[in-house]
Amino acid sequence: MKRYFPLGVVFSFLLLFLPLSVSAQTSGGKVLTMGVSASLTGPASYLGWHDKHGTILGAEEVNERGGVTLKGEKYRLELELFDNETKPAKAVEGMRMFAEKGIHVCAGPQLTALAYAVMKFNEELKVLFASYNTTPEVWEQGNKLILSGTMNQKWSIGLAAYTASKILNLKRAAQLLDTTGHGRSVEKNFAANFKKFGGEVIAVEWYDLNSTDFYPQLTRLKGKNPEAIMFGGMSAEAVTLIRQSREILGKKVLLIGSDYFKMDQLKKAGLDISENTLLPLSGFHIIDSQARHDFAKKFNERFKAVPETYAAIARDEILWLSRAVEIAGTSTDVFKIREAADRAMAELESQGRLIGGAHGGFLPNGQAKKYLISSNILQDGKLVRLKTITQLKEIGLE
Amino acid sequence: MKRKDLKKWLILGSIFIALIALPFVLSKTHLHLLVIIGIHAILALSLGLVVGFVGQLSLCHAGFYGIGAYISALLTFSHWPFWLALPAAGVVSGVFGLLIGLPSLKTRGIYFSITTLSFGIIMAMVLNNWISLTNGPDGLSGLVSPNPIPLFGGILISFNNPTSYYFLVGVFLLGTIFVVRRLLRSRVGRAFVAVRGNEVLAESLGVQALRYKLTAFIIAAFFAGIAGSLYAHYLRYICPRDFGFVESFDLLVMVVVGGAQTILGPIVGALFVLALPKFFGFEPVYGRVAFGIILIIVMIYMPRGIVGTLQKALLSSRRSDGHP
Amino acid sequence: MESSIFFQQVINGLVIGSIYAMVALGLTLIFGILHIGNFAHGQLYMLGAFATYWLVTLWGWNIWSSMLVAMGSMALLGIVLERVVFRPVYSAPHINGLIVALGLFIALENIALILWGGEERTLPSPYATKVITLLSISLTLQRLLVFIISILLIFLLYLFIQRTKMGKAIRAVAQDPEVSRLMGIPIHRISATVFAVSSALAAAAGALVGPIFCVFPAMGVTPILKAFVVIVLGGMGSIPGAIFGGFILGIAESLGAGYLSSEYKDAFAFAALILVLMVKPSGLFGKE
Repeated sequence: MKRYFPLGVVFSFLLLFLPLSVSAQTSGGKVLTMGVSASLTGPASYLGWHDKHGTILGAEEVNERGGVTLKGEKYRLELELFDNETKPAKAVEGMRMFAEKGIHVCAGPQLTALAYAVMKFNEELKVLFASYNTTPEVWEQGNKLILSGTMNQKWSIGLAAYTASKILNLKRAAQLLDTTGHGRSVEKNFAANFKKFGGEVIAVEWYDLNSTDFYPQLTRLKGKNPEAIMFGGMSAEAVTLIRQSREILGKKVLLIGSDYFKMDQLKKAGLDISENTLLPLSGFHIIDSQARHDFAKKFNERFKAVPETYAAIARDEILWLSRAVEIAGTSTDVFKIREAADRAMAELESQGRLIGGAHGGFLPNGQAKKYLISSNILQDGKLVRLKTITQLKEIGLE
Repeated sequence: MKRKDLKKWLILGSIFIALIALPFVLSKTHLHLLVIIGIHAILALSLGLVVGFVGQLSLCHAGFYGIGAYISALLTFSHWPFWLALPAAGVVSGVFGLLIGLPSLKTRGIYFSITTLSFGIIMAMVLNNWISLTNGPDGLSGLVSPNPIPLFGGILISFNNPTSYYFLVGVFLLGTIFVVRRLLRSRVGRAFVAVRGNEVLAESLGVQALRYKLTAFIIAAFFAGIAGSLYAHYLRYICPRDFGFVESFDLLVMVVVGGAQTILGPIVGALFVLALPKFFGFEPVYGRVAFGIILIIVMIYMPRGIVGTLQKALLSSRRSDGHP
Repeated sequence: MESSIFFQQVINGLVIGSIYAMVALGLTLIFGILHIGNFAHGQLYMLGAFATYWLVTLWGWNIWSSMLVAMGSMALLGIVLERVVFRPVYSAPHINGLIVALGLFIALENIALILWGGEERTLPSPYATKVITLLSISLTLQRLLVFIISILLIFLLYLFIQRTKMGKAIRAVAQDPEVSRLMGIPIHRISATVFAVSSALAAAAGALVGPIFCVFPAMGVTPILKAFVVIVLGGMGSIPGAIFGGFILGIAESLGAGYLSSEYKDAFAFAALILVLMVKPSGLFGKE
């Protein structure tokens, strides 16, 4: 009898966690639940925080205007928040959970790696999600059920390549990128676009996403004597990259940031060090509308922080997803909702309510037709705007 | 004697029935956790073979896990059926077990640990950087579920749900327990366990010792590969980060906290390590602090692990009771 | 151009090598006394960096006093950890010590994660932005200082071990603990001292690299793994082995990354270790 005591321990341990997690049921009134998959913990928790609060304000705005009307009934919009921990496996789990709970419309996952993982499942699970990840491959290899919340790299990289070669007249560029799908996408896009505008990529160096020592790669690049270096990385490494680059390569080389480099990081690295850096600014950063200012004010009051562009994009996502559900007349037929999304975005745009930068309706593959984006260079401690576009054809790309 | 046996079978039987009934009683979230625990129990048991049998701390076990997962994934992408990819994954991991075990087992103690750690790191790095093969840090998504098995009467068992997977993993776990038990209780096994840690005595076992140690190492790698395949086609998404040295450390924690020289130990360890963070709610970080501390406490006060210490206590209490 | 690139890589290697040497030195000292591979040592490096970071950013101290205070506090922490965590397993099989160190390693990193989050912070330093250029080799003043101060600290440690009474006692215990105990050397005080000195060294290393790389909870992981490679290659418990091994590894890595493959930069160390152990299973200068 006693010999099986250990087994008994195992068994009672198993019983111990039968007391389960209860999912809180909201009470009162008709409710429409939309999913939000955000990176609340993990390396992208900064983004996730802004996503979460942006969607909260978006839902509030929808409810203030009477909620979502389906078949004549008014539904209050509620959000079911899921923390994907910046882990692709978790994001997939979250998508499954939403599907099981009958939630078929979702804002996020927003990051490339997460979207890549999820896009293999969302069709079979019948979940439509909006994402502001910037990798064109997600739109090219993905499926009908993904909607774009922001520009993809073709815009930011294309504009950067255009600016560097056509406006600043630089012809020899190198690239220093991380080995994720995002980084590899940047490499392809920049090389293709820079060549198109008459330049040449003379060297490419790679690093692992968690590195902080770029000296070997930078020293190799120094040997090739580039006029500019394209960085595709996340904001976390920006300060380190800028400093180490300036140390090894000096100040004459143009540093080109992708959509993740921000003015904040330039300041942290030091404005004199960051001199001669090219940055894209888009959407929320350069839109000047009443809706934009209202949002910034409300965000600041409620959450005591300046909203990042991601918060604005996430809020936009909630708005056009809700309106699409309304127009489609269903919250579960995802293909109908997808079709309605085009009209939804056009309506919101005509009302002047969009603040994330994407407008003009959706292409068949889910990307928005127009974005507002500019390229800017840091000179004498200030960002000088070099070029602004809303459509790729303005710089000869499509 | 017979009454004792009857009691034993009754208890075992009722536990068995309870385990079978479990998936129909538990919520999906808990069942999912049990499947993951089951897969890690296979991993921990196989690592326990190395720690208990060979008597060394291997820090590359997650590498074999990863190789199994990726081989299985890549084979199924080449249209192999899961049921062939699974054993293939085990075999390939076993081959790596041979390649890594052969040089590693020539070293001992901390040198063995550091050597296996190095191999583990290199394996994880290759998985991460050989992008044309593995897609790099973003991992592989959209893996298939195991092909459904047709039963009599036109019934089809499908495996894209936790319940079927629970039983699938259960079967393999039983298989692993069976093999490990046979090994540990064999003449060679008992000899090894007896001399574990005592180098002089170990020498007396002769050159053959290396052959047996290597066999154990290869078998452990094989099961880790099997676990990898099961994991890959359950979650249907894998990435290199799942198979790094953090995972190797976690597996070692499971073995040590549960009890390295027992069969039940690593299973209890897996249950403990994976269920504990859930008690701490949503932030996994708190769970990890807890089991870092628990590892220290267990090592200081219960070096034989939970099950090991319990067994020892029961053994001595039985002796003092006057039982033979 | 070719040769200046080569020398630039060598300089890069010397800087990182001095960090490896400092961390390996602490690790080898602890191993020499306790025969425990103390994984948690890497977290003292990390905590030293964080201590310096908070002193500089929250209280506006200058970087030198912050570093000194960080070294002092990590020395204290080292003493506490030795007493509470390592002493109970002193007489147990060495495997237990390794596992205890692993537990501490996991716990400390995650405590830092809870307290400060995972974001990478830059330690502000006035030397990090001043670039010196010599014969087309460039490095910031900070990187030069890392090298100089490491050499200085290592030299001081060497003097301590060779010339002081305490140093002699440490060497005695490392050589033969039983005889030392019989001769009345207070083993526990020696252990505590070794932990204090090692932790202070690790903290200094962390404080010095904070402005160059970044300060974040996982920053100690790669250095401690590399340090293990260094001490295995240099001989576990050997002080010259740790010092020279550290610098050689740094240069080899830098040149490997520069001329072979930068993605697999971290793999060189581990591959080298495997190759050496195959030929000589007890390390290059190993005794056991």
